[in-house]
Amino acid sequence: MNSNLASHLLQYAGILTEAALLYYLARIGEWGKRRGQFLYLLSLLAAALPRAFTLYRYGLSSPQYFYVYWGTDLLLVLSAFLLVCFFFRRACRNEGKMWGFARLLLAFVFVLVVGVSALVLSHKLSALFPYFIFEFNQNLYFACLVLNTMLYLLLVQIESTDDQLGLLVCGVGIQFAGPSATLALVHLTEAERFAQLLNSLAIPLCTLAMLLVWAYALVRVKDSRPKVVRPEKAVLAEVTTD
Amino acid sequence: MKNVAVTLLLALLVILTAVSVRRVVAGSSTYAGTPTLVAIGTDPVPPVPPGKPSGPKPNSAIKTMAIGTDPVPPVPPGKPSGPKNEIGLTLLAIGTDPVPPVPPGHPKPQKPSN
Repeated sequence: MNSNLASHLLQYAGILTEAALLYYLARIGEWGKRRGQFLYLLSLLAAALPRAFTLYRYGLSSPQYFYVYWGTDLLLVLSAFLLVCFFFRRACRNEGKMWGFARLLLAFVFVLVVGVSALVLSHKLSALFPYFIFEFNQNLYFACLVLNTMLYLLLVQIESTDDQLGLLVCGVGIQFAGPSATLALVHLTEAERFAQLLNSLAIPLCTLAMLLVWAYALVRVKDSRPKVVRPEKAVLAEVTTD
Repeated sequence: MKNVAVTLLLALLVILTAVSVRRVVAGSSTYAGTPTLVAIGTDPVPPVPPGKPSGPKPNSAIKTMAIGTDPVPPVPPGKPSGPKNEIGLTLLAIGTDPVPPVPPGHPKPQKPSN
């Protein structure tokens, strides 16, 4: 009963925070500058509404909720991957060569995830939807976790001065690493009751934590991303015309 | 060309790490009623109905070792999972042939009397 209450509280808090963040981005008119965050928040809200409706209408254990939940999870994982791509783009803003390398890497990772997930289909053609969706979602989720960690290390390595990006990446890290760590705890403790309860709450709790970190980063931390270095030729042309 | 090869290798490393982390973290936890899948969102996670995949399942009956990267097939009930006999004796023998079970009623070895 208490865990049900907690999960409902987390669900509504999540929907409210997503809507508030989207409203904030639209109000300050920066949704174009922060396309990654805007797209991800929009996907979260777009997934939360049919999920909430199906949960209310059919219940937690219904097949309808099951299919809606995991179907919308596909949308969320894809937008999470796009978000990581946008973050890589922002981190390599002044590093053209590095961005070329990162872009190729992201494309290869996506193709490999599709390939590895499709391998499962060769064994289980009869149950295409659940198996492929599960495999693809889970593989892409963990690929995003690894890529996000790599991005954080890259930010440390290049001594990035973009504090806001650092916080946004940390938020995504909470989102991805939290449930994974809890699942590992469940595994280690052989599914003790507390670990099971924690596991059922970990996914919504970590998503909410990410949203709160993002809210802090967007509202309180100044966007100190470095300006784009203009090509020397353009500067030279300006000087000569003057 | 060299850059592409290095990038492809790095991408392979990323995907291998991701799959390994997934296997370690979620691969073998298939406890009843516990979702062993990670997801995104603040909505409650639906329970996985019976028959749906929730990661590679461990088989508690497996007592065998195997070589290879393929999943080990489960040992069906009734199949031997190591040398056993019906009266619970552990017999040692020489040779590569399977040890025959001791038939019921076979006299147990006498305990040495002091």
